Amino acid sequence: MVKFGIEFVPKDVYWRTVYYAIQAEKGGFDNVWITDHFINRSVYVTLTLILNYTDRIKVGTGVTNPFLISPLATASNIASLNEVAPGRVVCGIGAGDLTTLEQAGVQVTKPLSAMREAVQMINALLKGEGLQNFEGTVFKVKSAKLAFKVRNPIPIYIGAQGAKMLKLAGEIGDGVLINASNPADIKEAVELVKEGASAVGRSIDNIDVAAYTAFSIHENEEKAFKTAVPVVAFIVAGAPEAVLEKHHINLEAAKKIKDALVKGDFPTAFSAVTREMADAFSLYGTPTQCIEKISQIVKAGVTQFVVGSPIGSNVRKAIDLVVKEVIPHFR
Amino acid sequence: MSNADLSEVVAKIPKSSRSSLSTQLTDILLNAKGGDKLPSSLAKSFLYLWQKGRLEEDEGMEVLLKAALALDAEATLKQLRESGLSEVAEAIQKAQQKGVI
Repeated sequence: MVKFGIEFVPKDVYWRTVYYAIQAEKGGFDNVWITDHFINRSVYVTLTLILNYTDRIKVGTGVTNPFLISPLATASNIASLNEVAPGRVVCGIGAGDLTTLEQAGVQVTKPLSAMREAVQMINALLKGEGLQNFEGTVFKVKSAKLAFKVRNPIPIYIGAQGAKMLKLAGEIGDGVLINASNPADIKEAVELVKEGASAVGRSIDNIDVAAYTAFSIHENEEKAFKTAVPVVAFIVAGAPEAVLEKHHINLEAAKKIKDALVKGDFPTAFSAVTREMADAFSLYGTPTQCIEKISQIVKAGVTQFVVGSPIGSNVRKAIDLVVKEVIPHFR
Repeated sequence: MSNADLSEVVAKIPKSSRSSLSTQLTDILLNAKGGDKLPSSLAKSFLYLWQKGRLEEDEGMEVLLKAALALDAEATLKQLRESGLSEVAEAIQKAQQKGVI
């Protein structure tokens, strides 16, 4: 049975995000994922509060990154969080959002090595082994060990989009957060995760394969599309040409969106987003349309479907729609 | 408005109206501008009662009304009137005029 996760961006006051997380738990969601961007509220404060106001749902970073936050700090944060609700915490980590990292003046080098080393470091600390004279190509640690014990295993999920990162996730992750919304892209990604797992003698059956989508639901399809538009505009603007071509997206139209976003001209950028673009980079529609698209994704081998932002024009009502009309179809 | 006054106001809300009213007041809370202005104690009570499924009880309705009035008094009073609870809206307005709310 496919699990359902939901992602929140903590850009609003904490109590609203916590309200939606409680709603998600009541509605049968299995996981809550909170994004980690320094411009927003702290992911760990938000997750701690969610754990305090929920009883069952699992929570995790969706995702933190090793360039801005040291993997040692991540291990400590995740281990501390786990003490609030043992067994309900997971760690999602990815190479990071290039735009945000550039804003922070952080240079992203060797993302594959960084991820491999970060996971190794976090695991070493969470398992109580610690690190002695760790000499990675990106990270070097003389000596590090948590001063407290983590009493249960904490799964690490790898946020991935590119082929190499997806294979790495299959190789070293307890889970993978596939950053895609289109069923064809997700099918391709699942195969790459499987390939990575097989290469080291692992079975994909032991990996929680999550489709981390840009999702928008509404009873009115046009409204669902309109809500997805801003997110799609940013995805199109940041997508490499090869990805745009793969989805038959007009490169000039994509450039127009990017230029407008750079100038802060959002109306021009958003009005240039087409249905083709939204189909390629988001999952939007009425409950019936969403069920159809999610079914295709589940068939591709996904074990968790993540309802990612924007979710809907009215988040409470959108969660309600997913709970009442979508989740029951898969249970 | 004192807690005693608010209890009297809440008592005027029929049980049959509470389910839809609690949802409508919640929507005011979730969508109002200036969410950071909600007093911390009210935010915590709101989340606790929501988690426990008690927003439709007297205590829950009190917290919802206090919180919604704190963030958007105009929309809250309008909602009460549209929900056929003009008497409740009037009682709150009188309290506001007296300066006790």
